[in-house]
Amino acid sequence: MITCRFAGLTVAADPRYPYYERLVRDYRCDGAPDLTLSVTEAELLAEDAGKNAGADLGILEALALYRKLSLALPAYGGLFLHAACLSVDGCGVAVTAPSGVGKSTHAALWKELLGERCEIVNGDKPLIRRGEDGRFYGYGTPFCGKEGWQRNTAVPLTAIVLLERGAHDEVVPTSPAEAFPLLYAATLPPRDEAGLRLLLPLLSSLAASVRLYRARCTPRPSAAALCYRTIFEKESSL
Amino acid sequence: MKRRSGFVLETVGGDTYAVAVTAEAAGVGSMVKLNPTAATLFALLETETDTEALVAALMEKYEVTKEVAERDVAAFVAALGEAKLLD
Repeated sequence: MITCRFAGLTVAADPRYPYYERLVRDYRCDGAPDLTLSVTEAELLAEDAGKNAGADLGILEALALYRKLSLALPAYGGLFLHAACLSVDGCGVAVTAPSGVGKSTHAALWKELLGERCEIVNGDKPLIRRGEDGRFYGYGTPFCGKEGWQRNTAVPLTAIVLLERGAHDEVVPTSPAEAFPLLYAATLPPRDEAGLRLLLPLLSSLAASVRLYRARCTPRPSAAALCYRTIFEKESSL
Repeated sequence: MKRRSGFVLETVGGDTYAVAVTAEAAGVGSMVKLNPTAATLFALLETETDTEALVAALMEKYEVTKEVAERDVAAFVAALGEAKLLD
């Protein structure tokens, strides 16, 4: 059994293939698990689709385990968010967008702009979970997209940026009600009503507890600079 | 009449979203945005309900005239029908 700490929870799994153990090496821990994951052969093979079609069985197994964890998380006050989660001077910024819009490019521009002040907590698939202090935190996990950007760390979320492509850079605040469908589209929706009844209130709490922005952005450095200024203008005059 | 089942309602700010449990339940996407009146009617239509009960509910909750309530109910029921969300 392999035990890891993900999103503040102790998570056990007993994988068939060695890939998972290598993948999670920075996240290993001891102790009694909060939850134990297992996947069936059918669930593993179900991952063999889309951009993961033809991937190694170990990779498919790891993805199936992460899906299981993500779907179980709302019962523990957490959720999966398809986003790049940045830590900017210790403040969490999750940049979410559908695949192919340019999350990674945008995250790289923040790094370029801020250097060591900006750390990529998870480049593609962070977990978000409410802490004991009531705030939502973005967590690094080893499941993080092809760039491999991840750190075993957590950052309190300050803002969520809903990223779209634009001909010009434009970043405007938005409301929880407006953001809700886009946030929902960035989660992993449960397949049953009980799961949805846990996820939806959590998602609306998340939307109400962070600053939300719609960003229409070019893939140029000016985009990250405008986002940064719009989110942190009170904190800094960069 | 009764609406299709398989939705979970969540109110965010002033809007209520009816989120489909499965993609098939919605037929119109994964969620439907409802204003407060529509959210009231959508919730009532989870179980078998008639037009009179819907009209009465709107008159009581929003203190509107019977004519206004009837018009709102008719429009919403028609919209549900068009979206194929009525059983």
